Amino acid sequence: MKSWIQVFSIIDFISVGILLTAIAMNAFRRLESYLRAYILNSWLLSLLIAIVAFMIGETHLYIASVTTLLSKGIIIPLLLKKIVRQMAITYDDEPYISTALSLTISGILVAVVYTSLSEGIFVIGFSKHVLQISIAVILIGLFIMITRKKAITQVIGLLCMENGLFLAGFSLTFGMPIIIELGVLFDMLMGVIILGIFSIQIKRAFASADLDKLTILKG
Amino acid sequence: MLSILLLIPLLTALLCYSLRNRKAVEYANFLGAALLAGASIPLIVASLTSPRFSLDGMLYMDALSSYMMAIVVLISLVTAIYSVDYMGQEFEEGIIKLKDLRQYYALMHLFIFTMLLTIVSNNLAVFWIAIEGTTLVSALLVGLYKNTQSIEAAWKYIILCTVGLTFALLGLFITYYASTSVVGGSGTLNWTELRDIAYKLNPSTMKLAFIFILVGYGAKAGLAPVHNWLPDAHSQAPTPISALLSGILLKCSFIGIIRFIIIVNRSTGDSYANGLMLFFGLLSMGIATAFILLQNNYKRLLAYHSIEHIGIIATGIGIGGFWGIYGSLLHILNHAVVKTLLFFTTGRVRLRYHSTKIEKVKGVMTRMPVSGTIMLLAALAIAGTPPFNIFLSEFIILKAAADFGKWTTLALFLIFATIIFGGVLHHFGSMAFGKSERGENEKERKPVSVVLIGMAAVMLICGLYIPPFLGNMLANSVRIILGD
Repeated sequence: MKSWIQVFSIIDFISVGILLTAIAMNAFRRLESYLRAYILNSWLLSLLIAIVAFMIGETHLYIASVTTLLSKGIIIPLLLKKIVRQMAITYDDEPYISTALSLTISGILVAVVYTSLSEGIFVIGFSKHVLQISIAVILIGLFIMITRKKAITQVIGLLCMENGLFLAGFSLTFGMPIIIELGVLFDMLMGVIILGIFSIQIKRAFASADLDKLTILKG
Repeated sequence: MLSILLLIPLLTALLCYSLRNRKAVEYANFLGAALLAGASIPLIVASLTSPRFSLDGMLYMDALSSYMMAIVVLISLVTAIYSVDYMGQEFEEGIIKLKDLRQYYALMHLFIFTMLLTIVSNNLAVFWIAIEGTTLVSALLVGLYKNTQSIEAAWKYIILCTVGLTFALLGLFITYYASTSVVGGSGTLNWTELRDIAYKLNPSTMKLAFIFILVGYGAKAGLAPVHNWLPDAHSQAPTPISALLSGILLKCSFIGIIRFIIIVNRSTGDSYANGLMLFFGLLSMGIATAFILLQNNYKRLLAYHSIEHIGIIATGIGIGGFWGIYGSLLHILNHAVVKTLLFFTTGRVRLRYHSTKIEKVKGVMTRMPVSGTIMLLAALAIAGTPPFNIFLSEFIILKAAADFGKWTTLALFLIFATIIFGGVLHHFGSMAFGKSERGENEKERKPVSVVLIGMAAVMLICGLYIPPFLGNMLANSVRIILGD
């Protein structure tokens, strides 16, 4: 089984899956598909950790995999679904740039990350590709946050960034000590709840779920 | 002992939330803050000379932490007293409901808890968790009034700071990675251990890590150019919370950068991190100067002053040497006292005039003699007028710049400080003097006036001389940063 994982470079396959689901978010307009891409992204992350845990036989990685699945794969998506339902919006109809352009730009981002990290990089974890992919996912998450208008899509962009971050941390050092990881996940969970509260309040106070109305405070 | 101390604000928060009566909540708030202040004194004194660990090495207290803890506890106590008056008045005017008041006190003590945790954390990841905790809790406080402005400010605050902190976490991962190649096995994130092995850490890896840390914690500390959330959040938060945000939260985050610099300097040498701090410090001062001159809202004006003073603190660290760092650390205390005083006095002005626009406020000196006088004195202090405390710490930093021959820094510092002096006199002068439209003179409330006068006395005394125990604390803290 272990050699099978290595021969078919399963780890690289899964991390490419993580990259593709992140890029796919740029193409979606329907919030539901958006959310599904994020869920798939989190599940792949958890699967990747589980496979590496199996390969090197570390118990704490199994725990990390399960906590990732529980928090990012199940609890946070459920919360997000609830928020989306409460806000009664289904589409992010007018992002700042077109789908084609945002897909092109995320493609360029991946290319830039690959070329800039291809040589002279002194930080190399268990697989070079995983580190490059994780940085690309972080940048794509940031890109989604910049180009989307709805409060909830910005939150999903942030979560996408954090998935990339966890992948980066994982590829560098096989993750943090479990107590730390739990603390970070707890903060993230609280963050999503609080951002959810605020996005509902934005909808109520501004009579719109679009963030381009938030321009009262200047100077 | 340390963990018991941390429990006090947590329990106070719980108590404040569970009580259903206004008076009871206010007493719980005051008792919690007073108990925290009382219980922290022996700890602060004890860890001045000998560092102590707690909770399996997760928590750690040395002279630097005890200095910061003293500031946090002091500002928290005065804020707790001031809150009773300020929030009580807003409650009486019907701006907030009892539910909001309970939430306010509970969140405030939770906020104090997270800030204390940042100061005493030894594990860098615990520091990160705590600083992200401060963002989440204080964002709820910024959005307390639930109107369009406060929601906008809270949203920007939480999004910008969380994105910044995400990058800081990446910096932590890189540090952890760097430590694995030195200690082997699973590596370490404990600050004390990293400090001891710092000279073996790979310099280029640590440089990369420092960039991410500076972006992340710098955003939280309000360093330009990642300060955009700060004026919004500080101006929309309830006034006591603005004081906490500006007076201590920025510094808690800044201490995270300082702790990291201690490690990075041993790995890469002094010039790298110090150069970056100097650059961003002066940049923050410059950007703040422009906005201070053009400001027409006094709460935003004070927020830009925070950016300026964080810039001054960063510049002091960037200049380095014993006196540069000494001046910086002293400035942390001085700015905390003066800025809290300014927010408190302008908070009373706001309650009286119902506006945060500078042009709507006239004749504060005649309508509110105590608050008006102290506001004007504190405004003079924040501009760096002798004989107040801010002048002293700025002077020490400038002297360090001259000693090291950093004449460009000195010149820029003086130019910015002079322009800001003019701006402060113009803005606060027009608020303090002039003829007030409506002339009724209500009585000012006693407990708050006592707090204000006490803090103004501290502001004056620390400008004239540095008490021996304070000097001792500072010297010990500087030695920790310099590492000898």
